[in-house]
Amino acid sequence: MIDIYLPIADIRVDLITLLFIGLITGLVSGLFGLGGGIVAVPFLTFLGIAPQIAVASVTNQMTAGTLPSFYTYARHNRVDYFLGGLLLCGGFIGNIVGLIILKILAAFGQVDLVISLGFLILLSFVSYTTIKDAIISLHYKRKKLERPHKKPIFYSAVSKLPLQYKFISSDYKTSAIVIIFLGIIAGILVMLLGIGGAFIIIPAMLHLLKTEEKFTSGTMQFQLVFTSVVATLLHAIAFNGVDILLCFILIIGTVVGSSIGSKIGLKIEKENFRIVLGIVILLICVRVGYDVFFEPKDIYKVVRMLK
Amino acid sequence: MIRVISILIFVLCICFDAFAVVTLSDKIVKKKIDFNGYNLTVSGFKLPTSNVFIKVEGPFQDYKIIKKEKHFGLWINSKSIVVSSMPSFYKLYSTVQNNVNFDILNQLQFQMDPKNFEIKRAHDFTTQNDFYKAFKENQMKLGLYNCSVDQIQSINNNFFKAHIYLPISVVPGNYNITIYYIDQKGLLEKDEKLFFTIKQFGLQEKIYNFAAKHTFIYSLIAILMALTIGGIAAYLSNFKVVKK
Repeated sequence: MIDIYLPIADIRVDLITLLFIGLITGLVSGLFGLGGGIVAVPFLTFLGIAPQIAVASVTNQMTAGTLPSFYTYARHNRVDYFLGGLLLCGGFIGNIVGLIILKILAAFGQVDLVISLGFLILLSFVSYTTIKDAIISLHYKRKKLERPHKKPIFYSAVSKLPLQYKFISSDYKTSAIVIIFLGIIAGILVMLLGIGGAFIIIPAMLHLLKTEEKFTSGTMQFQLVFTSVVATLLHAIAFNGVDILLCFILIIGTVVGSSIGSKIGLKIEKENFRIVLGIVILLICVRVGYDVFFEPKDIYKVVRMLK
Repeated sequence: MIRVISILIFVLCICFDAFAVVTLSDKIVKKKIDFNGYNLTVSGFKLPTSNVFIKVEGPFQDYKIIKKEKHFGLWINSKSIVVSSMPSFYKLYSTVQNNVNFDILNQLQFQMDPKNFEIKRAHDFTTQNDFYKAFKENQMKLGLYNCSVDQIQSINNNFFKAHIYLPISVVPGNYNITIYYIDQKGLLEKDEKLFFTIKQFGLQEKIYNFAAKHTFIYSLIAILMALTIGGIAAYLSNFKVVKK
């Protein structure tokens, strides 16, 4: 055990555990392309770090995590900058909306609850879709059949909206309103929960905007680099919530984990691991749910207020 | 020999109208990265008939105490209280072996009374009392408050020695030690004050202070750090791809 004192979180935690969390976050990111926040934030709160500080620090870690993959996609011309720019505009608005929501929640003392409930809903959704998708993919693979593509949903409604633009990533025109709206959702998720929301935005890009699959991840990463920077800035200024030492340890773990994850990802059959990931996320979900629905060990919580 | 020295000190003290002489082992305690708790010693001279009480408290800070309650099946933060200027560390010591006279302690304001706390938003007394108890229990768990009055070692009835244990969770700041001399009738003969400071050394303290004073620059540094490490990782991963 190597205890380290985190100055902003005001807590002593084991350095190896923190590095391990960073490593797992990186592995999940490298293997499955999921942002690590969905794993990192719940784990950090289990260690006793205040949810708001966990979210703020993971947001900063996200900047470091998304930059290498954005750079790789950019080098291979797989980023639609116009689409990304519109998402980014929405992302900035989302950041501000997220900040206002956080301020209101902080005034009512319910930040922890909303973060826990948010994770509970998202984790159950992600674990369900991950397991279901992996099982379906395995089924088609075993039967040696090609998996049918999903039909675009709500596209006809989207095509009737104003401000239609043509993007390099799509053969169809799409309304800028929908793109900005998606960006707002992503911005709020980054600000409130410290997650990029790729599992919501990427399917929406594919089915609502009809974006070509090869452009989705790169464009999403482009948007995330900048939204996470703004979210970190807002978290630090408004709540003094960014623990630089925690960020540093997580980033180191993430960078190493991500590199290992992408190497493993090239060699293994991902569907089997996706079932494992789905089960792990489900377990995290159960743990988060336990804290929300069952009587806590300590009904009272004492918080030392910052100078 | 000890008796001779004690008598000599006693005579000297009476002559100079200072029957109590107290010393503290350290004025500054350094809380470094490997800090694992520290023992501070208060020692002094007293009249054979006097009882000594020591109060150690500090640093005074603002605390928010939050209570969770079940609403609609969810455990949510329902009530909170902000108390200002609460000592984060509060311990009592006495030379009295058993049956510490709490009347004397109350007279000397040894025992903290929730009625006396500065609370930013008014609550009824029962709620206030419950919050106070919760705060005290929390500090006890951290070893920052004592459950009962701790013992002061008495040597030959003329000297006393108290070991003040500062646990790992101790907060940096200024601390006060008040030494009370009580006669057999329970009346205060004299009191003395000593001070010590716990200073945090190392990177963590610098980070904490910098974040509090220069929030904007601190956040920019955090972002810059993330971008630099991310940038290096991006360069290295692409460098490998190019090499392949």
